[in-house]
Amino acid sequence: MKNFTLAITILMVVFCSTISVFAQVKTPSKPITTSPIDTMANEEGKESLLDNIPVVSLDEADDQDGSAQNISGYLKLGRNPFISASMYNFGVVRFRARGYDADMSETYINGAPMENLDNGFTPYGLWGGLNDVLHRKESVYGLQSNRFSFGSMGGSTSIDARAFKQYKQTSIGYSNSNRNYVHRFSLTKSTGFNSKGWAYSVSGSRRWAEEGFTDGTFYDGWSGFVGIDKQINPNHIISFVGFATPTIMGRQGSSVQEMLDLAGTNYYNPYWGFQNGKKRNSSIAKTTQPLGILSDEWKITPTSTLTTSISLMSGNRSVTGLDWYNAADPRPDYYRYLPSYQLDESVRQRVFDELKNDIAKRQINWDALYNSNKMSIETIKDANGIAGNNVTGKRSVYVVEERVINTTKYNFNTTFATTINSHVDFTAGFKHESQKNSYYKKLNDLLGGDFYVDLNQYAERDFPTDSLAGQNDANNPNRILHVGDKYGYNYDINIKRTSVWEQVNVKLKALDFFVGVERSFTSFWRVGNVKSGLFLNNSYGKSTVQNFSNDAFKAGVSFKLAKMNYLYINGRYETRAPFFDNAYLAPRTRDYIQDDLKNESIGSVEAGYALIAPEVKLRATGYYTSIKNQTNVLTFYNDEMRTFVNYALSNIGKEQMGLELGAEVIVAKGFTTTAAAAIGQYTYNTRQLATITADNTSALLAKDEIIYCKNYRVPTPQQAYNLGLNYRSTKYWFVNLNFNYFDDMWLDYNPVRRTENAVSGIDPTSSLWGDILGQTRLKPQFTMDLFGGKSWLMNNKFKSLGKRTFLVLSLGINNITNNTSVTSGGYEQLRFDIAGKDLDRFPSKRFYSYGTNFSANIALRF
Amino acid sequence: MNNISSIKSALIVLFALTTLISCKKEFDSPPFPTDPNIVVNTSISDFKKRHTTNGAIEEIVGDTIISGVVIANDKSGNFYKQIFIHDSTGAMQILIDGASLFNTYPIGRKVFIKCKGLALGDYKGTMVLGVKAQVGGVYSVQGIPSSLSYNYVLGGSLNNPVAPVSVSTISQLGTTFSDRYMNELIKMDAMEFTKYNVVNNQFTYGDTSNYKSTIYRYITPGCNSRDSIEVTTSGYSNFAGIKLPRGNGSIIGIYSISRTSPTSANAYKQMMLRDTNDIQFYGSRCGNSNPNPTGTRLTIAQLRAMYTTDMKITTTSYISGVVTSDAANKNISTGSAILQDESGAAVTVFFGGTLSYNVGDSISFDITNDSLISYKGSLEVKATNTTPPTPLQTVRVVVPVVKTIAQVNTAIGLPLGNPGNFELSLIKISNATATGNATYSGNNTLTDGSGSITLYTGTAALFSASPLPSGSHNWTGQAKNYNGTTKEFLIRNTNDVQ
Repeated sequence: MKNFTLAITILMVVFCSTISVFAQVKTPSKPITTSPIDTMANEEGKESLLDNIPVVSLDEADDQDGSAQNISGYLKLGRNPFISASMYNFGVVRFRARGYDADMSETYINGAPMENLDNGFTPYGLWGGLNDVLHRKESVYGLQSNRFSFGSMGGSTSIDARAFKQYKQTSIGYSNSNRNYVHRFSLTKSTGFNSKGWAYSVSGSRRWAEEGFTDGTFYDGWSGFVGIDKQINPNHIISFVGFATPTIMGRQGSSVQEMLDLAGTNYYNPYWGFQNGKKRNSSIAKTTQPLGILSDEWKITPTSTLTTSISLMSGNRSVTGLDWYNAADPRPDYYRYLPSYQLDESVRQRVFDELKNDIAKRQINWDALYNSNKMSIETIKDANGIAGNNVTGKRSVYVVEERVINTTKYNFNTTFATTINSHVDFTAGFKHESQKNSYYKKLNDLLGGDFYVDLNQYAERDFPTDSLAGQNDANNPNRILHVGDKYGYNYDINIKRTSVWEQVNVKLKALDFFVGVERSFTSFWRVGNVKSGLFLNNSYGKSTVQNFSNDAFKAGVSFKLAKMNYLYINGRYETRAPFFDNAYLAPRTRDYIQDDLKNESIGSVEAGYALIAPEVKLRATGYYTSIKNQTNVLTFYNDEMRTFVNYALSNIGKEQMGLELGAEVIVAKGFTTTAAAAIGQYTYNTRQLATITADNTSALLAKDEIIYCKNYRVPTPQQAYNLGLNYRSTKYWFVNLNFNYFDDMWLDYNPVRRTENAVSGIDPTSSLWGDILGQTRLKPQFTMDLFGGKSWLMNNKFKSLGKRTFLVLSLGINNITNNTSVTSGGYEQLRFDIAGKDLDRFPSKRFYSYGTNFSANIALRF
Repeated sequence: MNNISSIKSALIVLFALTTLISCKKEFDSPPFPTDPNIVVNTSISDFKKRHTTNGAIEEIVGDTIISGVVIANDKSGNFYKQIFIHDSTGAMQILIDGASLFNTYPIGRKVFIKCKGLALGDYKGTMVLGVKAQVGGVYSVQGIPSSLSYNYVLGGSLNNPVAPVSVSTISQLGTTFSDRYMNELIKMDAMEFTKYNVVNNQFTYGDTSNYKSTIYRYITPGCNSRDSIEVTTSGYSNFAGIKLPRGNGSIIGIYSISRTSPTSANAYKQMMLRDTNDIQFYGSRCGNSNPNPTGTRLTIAQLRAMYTTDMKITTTSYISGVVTSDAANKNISTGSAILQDESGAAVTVFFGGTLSYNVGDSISFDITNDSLISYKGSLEVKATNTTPPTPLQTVRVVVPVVKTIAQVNTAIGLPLGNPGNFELSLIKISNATATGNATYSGNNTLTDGSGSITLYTGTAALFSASPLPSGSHNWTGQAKNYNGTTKEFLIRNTNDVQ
């Protein structure tokens, strides 16, 4: 899915860049020039400016409910062939550069930091569909320094979306594709500065599909952008941008291979079902999080600039799902409904035939859910906590819940950059970020019933005699719920981070170098808005505040070996506060925190060689990164303990090293060949420790159980290769053909299966021993992508046109060979049949990348 | 200005184009369930005749369609992966391999079963309908997979009447597969649990331990009847932890038999309850020496108001109430119990001998010709019948009323017949501190913000040697004016101190 959106992004991106190249539109505005801080970056920056390749990704994962994002934020300089390939061609397998998580890079828009403080991810979805106005950016990859921030391990991107930086033109575009949306319409208009020093820009787009590539999915995303600049004087510009991307989409879910086989497609989607003959999706993601940024760029002296931004973001994102109370599991791919659950061969065959022959049986049976609710007449005694208040009616046993995250985030960021002399640049900054997330469930649909009750059925089952235990809100017991009511859990997290940094860049004849240091303070706490019946004393009100202080150091040097030849080495070490997401054991019900919570420590070095010549570009980089003391928290049903458990993992260490190669050779006039390779080894290098507590009682079930996961692979392709053939005609058309190959891909592993318990009683020489412990390696994959386009200057044909007007057509076809076995992601279920040691009981789940898919685009610019 | 207007027109075009394809359609929902258009061609009794041999499995190959109304399901957890249906001729047990079947097959729903493809068989001597399956190399009848159940067991209309079939004697219940009552919802009147289960002990319906095994409790018509039938309860039922009722009355349940092996001659007759509403044992046990009380029910408040001096009760009357004293912990004389009713008033009742009432037992007994006396300054019904009545119900809760010590001292100083005197009623004294001896035994002093009272514990009390707790606590118990001279407060057990 994500690879797919990336692909779209890529196309949009290339599309736009093509327009600019072929239309030969020059930047009309007058940029504020800054002196280059790094010779090599400057060389590449020039190239980049020429191509002006925008790098924006719309990451639909961010619309989802806290799931991992796999497109990293290091979408970097376009003309580095390695980075191009990892941006445009490797997304199909969710390639993550250097194996890093999405929390290892950073993005700024008009100087405002964009990262989520709860997990470090960049919420690309917030500006999805606004490629027309967010394409101007400055990026560095890896450990290079930049002049807008202290940087991060994976790289940094600064998007300049100010109105006066936009092309002074009107652009209308339409795209048609068979991906997660079918139609895309966009309109952008920018004015540049007028005589009074004002510049305006507006942009809007809508992306939608009644049904996307996958059955039962739909998409409806609107995007709107407004930018206003006021130039107070030639050295001082105040800017405001505001944008919002309200999006609603029907999601695709992963499933087990058995179900995919029954459905006969790897694109089986368990989330939908027929309701009165129409497809209805149970998992609908909705995002409305508008963002406003006020920024100020003040060139205090010809050599010193102060850049300041204030940003505010506020809004909801939510995802719906089925919830049920004392009722059979409504998910169509629940393991007990599958043929494999049947012991008798003939019965198994009957179930197989049933599911094979009737698509409705493989999907949610909405009608049955409605019927169950309509038949469920019950009386709730002492409803809403009022003694004697008995409520009788159709008590829904199945409902649609909406898991909401309401976020309010404000940031202040200021950066001072000055050129002390022709050799020395100094940059310093202060940044304060504050974020509050409120998490709660909202009743979305009663599915034909009259009401639902705010009860925790698992707690009721565990404590049959304690009438309070099952209450999600002990202050309002037996609360009767109607559509729109908050229920289940309701808590806030508050995170604040403040940092100061400084950096010195020195440019000499034979070498450049930089050093930098940052100090930061992070604090977070939880506020419970309901009192859980299970944790009367630890669920309600403000928790203890957790405080962390951290330091980061970086340095780098690049040697100019000869003209256009560089050798460089960079290093960085930092400690980092744990993320809120990994600190609290079960924030939905209580404020318990991981024992001995401490800072993570991360060290990284990279060294490489670059040749930047007109006909040949070559870059080879080696890197080594060590990550220590990470934590993680998982919550799932533990079959051995027969209860939901909170699985707190600590002592997570990783070692990530590898080689990155990129080359671009101009073979003949118009013909270019590119090649890229990422060959890495990303491993967990410690035995992690699991502390297991019962979700409903907080009883300690195991302390520091050892997870034997040393040398397990981080689940991202460790090898990715690309070969590109490109032709650009002087007649304003071009075509690119890319070949991609991926290997050394691994499924994410379930820690429960890597314990002594999981293999107790099994002969270590048996194949079962290896099957339980071993990590699944995925098959290598090959894909092929084609992209081409042409542009016309319309004024040649239509002499009456007043302005220079360009018509641009482009077509992208991805995965031409229709390879439908490319796994874009997957994981082992956290359930494991410890008693029966049956690996097939809870098999792994996988996502598959789309087969052959296309996007056709047309745009008019004037 | 020109810029602004062109931006405006651009926005208008944008919205005009995109709103063309935006209208959110609401999803329709299915109609209320009604009977499907299916012709029933076989009665349940005829269908049952197809299975005659122990262990045999009859696969249904013809288009047999039966229908019935759901009489029991898995709602309480006492049945698991089973539903029971009946028509006017008989009843059938259907195995479905799914959880929470009650949501699909609530009691009173008519179901239509397309039997072709299903199989009849037996489990422990009782007929079942399911699918033929080989498990562990042996063929048996197993639950219909839930993915298939909609094809075989079709739901129809709701809220059809579900009347149990009355059975007067246990011997009417046969043990053959095709017996009329097999798997049927039957009702028997004037039954009671055996003395061992509820008088000598008071067991729960089911196994509350982690083993959650299935438990058999016998019921009989009582009065030395040698007839009995098991009430079988799963440890997973939601009423497994509830104590068996001690009285006598009607019972409704699903009848079946249990053989230790398919060919065993011993067929244990059993009933399984759907929930505890299926038992209405509110009458007195058969042969109880205290027959059902007759005459006027007096509340204890009315009874107390009658008292001016020691007297004999001459009107035909009875009292009912809940025992609030704790015989087991012995801070009360062995032949006495304290009874409190809904009037809030309480009285000591004296039967003599050694009583074994638990806190929360409810009793009802005839007081005609009994004496109402002041015994050592406290009001007492001295019963002429020295056989204590069997509790009708158990675990009834009496909530103590919060009082200050000053209020207590005033109230129990009043004459015994004064309605303001709440001696013996269950009260709670908040935030009071005990001082005096090292242990509870004998006279100590209980003090709250309002005053003091003697805290008395008899030497026979099981907790008399326990250390007297220090600090402030909430105290539950009863107060009385001992011999008209010592105002004292008695707790029943140490759980009364919180």
